[in-house]
Amino acid sequence: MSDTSEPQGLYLTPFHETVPCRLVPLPDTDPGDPPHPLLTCVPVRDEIRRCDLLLLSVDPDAHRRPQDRAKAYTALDNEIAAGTRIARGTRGAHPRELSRLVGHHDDPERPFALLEPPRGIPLSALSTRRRLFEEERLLFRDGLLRALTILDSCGVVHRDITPDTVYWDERDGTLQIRGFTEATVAGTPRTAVGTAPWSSHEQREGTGRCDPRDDLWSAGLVLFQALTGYDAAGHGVLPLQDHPDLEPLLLPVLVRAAEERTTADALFTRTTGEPPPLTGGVDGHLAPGRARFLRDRAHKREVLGLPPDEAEERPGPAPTEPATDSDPPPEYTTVTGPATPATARSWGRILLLLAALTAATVALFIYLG
Amino acid sequence: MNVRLLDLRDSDPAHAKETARARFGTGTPLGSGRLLVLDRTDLLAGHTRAYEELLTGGRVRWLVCVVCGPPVTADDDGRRILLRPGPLGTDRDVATLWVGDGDGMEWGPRPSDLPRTRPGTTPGDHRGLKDLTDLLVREEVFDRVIEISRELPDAVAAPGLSLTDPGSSTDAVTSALTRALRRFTAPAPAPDMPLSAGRSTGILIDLLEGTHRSAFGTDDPGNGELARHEARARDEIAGVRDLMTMAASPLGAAHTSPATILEEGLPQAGRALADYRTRVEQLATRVHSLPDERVHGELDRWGVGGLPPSDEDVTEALDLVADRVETRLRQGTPPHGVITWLDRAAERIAPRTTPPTLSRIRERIPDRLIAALESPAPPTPPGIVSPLLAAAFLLPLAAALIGGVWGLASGIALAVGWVCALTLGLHRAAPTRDTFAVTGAHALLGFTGLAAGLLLSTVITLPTWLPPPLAALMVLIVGTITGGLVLLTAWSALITRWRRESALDEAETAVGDLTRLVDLLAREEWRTVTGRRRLADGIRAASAALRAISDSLAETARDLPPPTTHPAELEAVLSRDLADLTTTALSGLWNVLRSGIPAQDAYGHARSSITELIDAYLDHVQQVGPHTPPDFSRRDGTRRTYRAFDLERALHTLRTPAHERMLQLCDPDQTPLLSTALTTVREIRFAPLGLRDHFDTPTAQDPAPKNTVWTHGGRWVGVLRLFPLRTGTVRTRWDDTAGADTAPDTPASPPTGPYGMRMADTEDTVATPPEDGTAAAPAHPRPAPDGTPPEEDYFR
Repeated sequence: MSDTSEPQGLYLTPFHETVPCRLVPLPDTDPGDPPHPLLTCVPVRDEIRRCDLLLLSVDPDAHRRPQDRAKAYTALDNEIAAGTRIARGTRGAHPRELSRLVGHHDDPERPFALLEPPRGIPLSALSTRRRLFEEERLLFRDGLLRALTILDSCGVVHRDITPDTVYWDERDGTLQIRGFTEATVAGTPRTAVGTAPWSSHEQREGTGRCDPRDDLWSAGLVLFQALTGYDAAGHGVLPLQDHPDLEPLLLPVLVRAAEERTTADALFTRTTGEPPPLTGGVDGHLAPGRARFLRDRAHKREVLGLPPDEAEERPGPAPTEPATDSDPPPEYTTVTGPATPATARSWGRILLLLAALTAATVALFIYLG
Repeated sequence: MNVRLLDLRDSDPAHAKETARARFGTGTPLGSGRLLVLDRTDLLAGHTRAYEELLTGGRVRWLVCVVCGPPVTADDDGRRILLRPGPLGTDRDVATLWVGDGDGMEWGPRPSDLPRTRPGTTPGDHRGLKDLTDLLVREEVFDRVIEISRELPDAVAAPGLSLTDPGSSTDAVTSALTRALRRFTAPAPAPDMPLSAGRSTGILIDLLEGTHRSAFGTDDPGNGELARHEARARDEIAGVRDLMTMAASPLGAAHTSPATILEEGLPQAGRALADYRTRVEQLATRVHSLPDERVHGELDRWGVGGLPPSDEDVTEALDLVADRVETRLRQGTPPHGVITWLDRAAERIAPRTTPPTLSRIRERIPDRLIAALESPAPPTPPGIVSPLLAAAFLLPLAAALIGGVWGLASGIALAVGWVCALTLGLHRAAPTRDTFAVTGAHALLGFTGLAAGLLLSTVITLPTWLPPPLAALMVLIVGTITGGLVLLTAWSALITRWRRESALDEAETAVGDLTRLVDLLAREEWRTVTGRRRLADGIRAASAALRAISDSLAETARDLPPPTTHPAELEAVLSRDLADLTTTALSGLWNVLRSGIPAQDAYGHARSSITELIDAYLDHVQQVGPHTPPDFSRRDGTRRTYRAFDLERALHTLRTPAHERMLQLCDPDQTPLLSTALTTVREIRFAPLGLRDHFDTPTAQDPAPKNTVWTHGGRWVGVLRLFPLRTGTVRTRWDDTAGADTAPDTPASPPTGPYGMRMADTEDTVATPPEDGTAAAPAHPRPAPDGTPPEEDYFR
């Protein structure tokens, strides 16, 4: 087909540019499991831009039950919203550690998202085949922490970091987090999302407000499983004591309360010795986009006859400042000089006492005659 | 199998020739030269050109033709004959077996062995022919048929079979294989796999086994940068100790101020100690962050000793691991158990990252030790109550006993002098402490002693030989000397105790400990990091490969039908085959790892290789049978896949005399065409090679017949009887024209007896077939006429 023929569709990029596309399914390509059971994932090729993509849309079967429809559309919205936020938060320099939203189509009836195809295979699949090699272990750890810092900086909470959503590319030794169908913005009231042990208890119970440190909990477990082969999902308490290498890294992460956990930035810096890749956080320039997104979503729900979103997103307070890491004690105690001796005062008192005692003795002597 | 099969039963002459040329003509692959042809009696003669193609194409050296169907009628005399083409004559290595009826009948040459249908035979299924074909594709049997055909008249015979299958049925084999696969791929705990077995081992193997015990490192820091910092720490500590020793001496009390030691000496030693620890931490951090190829250079720059394990050490460790894995698999440990062992071994051998090393460094020189030196506590002065109080009391008392003014004066002098000296000493030792309470107590007690002396002097008058002034002077001198000695002794004890409490000894020990730790870390971790990484990755690759093999075998088990019943012996043999198959699949990986090439996609490669091996093995089990070892089997000894009962049955069949009733592949009305000379009957006894160790050993109680042919495949045990045809039954035609008259192959026959009955044979009608040896027939023998009557059908 020639590029001069009429395009068959349009999509919006995360920067709100309208892009024509001609999407052709690739039947011989394995799409992998869709990130959400109510979504379908179809490998396609954009013949205009000559690139392979992944088309994410609502499963037609999901239309049968209203509650499934609502969940399906929410999942797709989350994927789009998170992808947009990451693209804008990273200002176009999309990190390899996170899946990339190429664009989306916002038709209320048939919305879809276009993603770059995944790199590598899920950690869950890799774990059934082998353990990470020595060099891969460090790359995996650093890649995961880097991804978390970027998510934190963009104000995105993934809420579904598991071995199924963390991919590892064996060829170039890189990690990629995918599956943002449960993602939301930090500060949003929590809803009950996820399952143990990957989700923190606050996330499972839906209490408080979403915090990037929720993802830190999940990532800590994923990291432990990746580096030790321990099946975190099948057992109880992690045997950290059997892995002294990992204990200093994970103890500050696997703290029960999110407010008491370390941050991704601090963990990344302490572990790698490098500054976080993104600084400055998300500017307020995303706020209008966020508001527009919420309006559009409400409108779509109204058109589709779906009930309003239960977790009405109101701007909440920013997540509480993280507990400062207890700095290691200073290496050197301050050398204090000796206190100024009260030598003169001491001598004075002694001499006074001696004088008094001498006088008393002389008096005694005179008395005794 | 080395015998190829060609079926011409449904081919017209042109098609037969074309097929022969296409499969065995010039340019086709060379095979073993053995060909089994299936043909029909009514088409045989017409396939002359085809047989010419076969026997002149250079691809067929030996040919056995099984011609099926009833005899044809000769055109000239109407007799029933077997008409064959000229190329199948007797001057080549060609044998012809005539199967008059594919179903066959149970029959023996003795008159009492009347023909009867074999029980269980389904008419028309030609089971007998199929069994004969299965048998003739065995190279050993094929060769024997060719050999014996040279002894047969016209090189033609009618075959008879006596077969038994001592092995298990196909269903039983499948059941055993399914069960063996399931058990082999089931989860299993990690076995105990000691590697060293008493051999001299290196650190890598000790770490693998988890038996490594850290040796005591040397406290020699070498000659590099580390040595400089270590030496500075030691020098500072030694210098402070020397100062303290001097300060504790009588002369040192005057020259060496404890305040200097407190403010400068000890803190300097503390800083030197902290600096040494920091340098070691920096070294540890840097070593773990450097690429492997730069680690040793960095360690050399720091002067850290130790030698890295060589590539040979790593290879030796890998060899040991490979050997133990193979041994365990062959002993029956399921792969999952071995996988768990490999994963744990990889964790043990993998080099540690920085945090545990830093904590070990800080254990050797803890923060509290550095703090104790950098912020030292001053010497602890004596308390208010101390033995010094006695001197404070007695000296003035002794002086006051002189009495009078002189006694008072000397007593006051001694009391004041004691207090002043004490105060001076306390201020020098602990200038920051408030010692008024102590000196005050001594002042009070001193003057109390003075007062007591004065009181006593009024009551007691001591005899003096000196005038009071001189006596007072003497008392002063003695008292001063005594008091001075007491105070100096107390001073020395105070400084000595201070030195003990100042942690200098502990600091010096800590320096040595840290140096030993550096040496230990260098030899066991830093220098070994490259080798350990390579070994850990190699073991992980092996684990991945074994996982792939187990996954593939598990999938194979799922594709097979569920197990039913089977002999336990058979399952045991198949289980051992699976272990051998696994070790064979792993062998390629070990070779790659030994060469130092990292095996990244060990899972994928192992999956590919095991799939091929599994397919080949399944094919072997189905085609060749489980009784024959597969190609990858490296085990010696008997494959005990048979039950005793089946072995007895097999041996009984193997010993079946040729003249006994067995399945003769012809019709009852075709028996008159068979020769009556039983001495010309030949038999081939055969059995699978897997039975040879049961039967063919010097100590076997029931040995097999000596001329038994042991086949490398197949499952049958039995006898193939080759019954020659009556003279004149076989006619040869050299052209492919239909209906041409042919001449009989044999000369005129001897006369017949009365009533058309045949004359009795000159030999016994029931002859015992030779049992010894195999007949070494000449290359192109022509069998002598057997003396049987001419070609007539005879009523029997």
